[in-house]
Amino acid sequence: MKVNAVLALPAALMIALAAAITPSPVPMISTIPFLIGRKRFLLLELLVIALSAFALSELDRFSLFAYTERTATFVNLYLLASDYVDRPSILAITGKAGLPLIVGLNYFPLFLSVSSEVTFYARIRGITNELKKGKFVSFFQSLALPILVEVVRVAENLYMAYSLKVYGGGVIKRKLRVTGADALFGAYGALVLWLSLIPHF
Amino acid sequence: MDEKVRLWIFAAIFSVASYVVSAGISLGTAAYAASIFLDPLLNLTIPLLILSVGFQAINKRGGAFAIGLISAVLFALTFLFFLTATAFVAGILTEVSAYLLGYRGMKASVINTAVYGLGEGALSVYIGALFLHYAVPILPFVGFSLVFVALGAFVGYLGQSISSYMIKSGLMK
Repeated sequence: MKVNAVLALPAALMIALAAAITPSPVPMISTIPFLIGRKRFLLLELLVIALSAFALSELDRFSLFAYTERTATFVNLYLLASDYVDRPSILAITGKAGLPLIVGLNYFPLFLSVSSEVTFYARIRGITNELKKGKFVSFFQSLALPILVEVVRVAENLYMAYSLKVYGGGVIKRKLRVTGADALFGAYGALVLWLSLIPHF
Repeated sequence: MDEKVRLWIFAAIFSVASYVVSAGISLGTAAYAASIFLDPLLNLTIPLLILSVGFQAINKRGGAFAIGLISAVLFALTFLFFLTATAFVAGILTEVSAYLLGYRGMKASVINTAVYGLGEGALSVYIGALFLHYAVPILPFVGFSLVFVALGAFVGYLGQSISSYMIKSGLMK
């Protein structure tokens, strides 16, 4: 299911705003149902949120939980935008200059999964033991190399694809048709913002 | 035109990767409940390492500025305004440094990354403290700056060794 960017991006912005200005858990909770397809990431994230809530309540600093909520909301929103926003419709708003932004949206999930998995498995693979032995250089290189190889490969391939397709004089059709599903998504964002602003939520 | 396209695409990819890796590292280290020192240690070095390799991968006039600019936009989009200004300033300072030293090679990489780390790190500590109504006095500020310069230099050394490996293996042109 792909949603038109004209309503999806403002909806996402409203949810982000709700997370940024209020300590309400509503924005974070509102983004979770959309991540059902990414079970492993969702489990990891829920685990981190639970750990954070537990640790903060033990240390008597629960007011800082708002920052965990915010981080979770922003990360989820980027993933949502990558999965659900209909990409050509973004170009309808921004024109050709919006392409680097779309590039960013495209690769957010890939880089997130690569970096979280590399650091997650570092302990099992004994890479963190290198830190205890004092081998700092090889420790950072072992962690950063897989991530960086992926980043450089993505950048080079993207540049080649860009040169062959868009740069070759492709015409961008401006698609501005809005459907019922898009309007629902827009209303969802407005509802989340409104709910978060109610004090006791 | 071709060169500018390559510049902005590479700058966008490296900036997004650096930004995302912060979140990914926190996710990975927290989920495995690794040592509490691991998360801040990794978060101070690996994003900067990605940017350092980015400077060398782009290897064109304006690369550091583009990376600083796109990082600033990414921070602004997620309401981290105090990091927006520091990323922008750090990008400009690194562009000046790269204008004098180039982008590739050990000396260039170490100094460029140290400059970016100093701009990003020291400035954001100072502005962050101002947010808490605390103006950092001169001596601790100089201390912080030296730490960030040392960290940036170390990361620059790592960046150079990684990117020279990538150039030799043909991954990076």
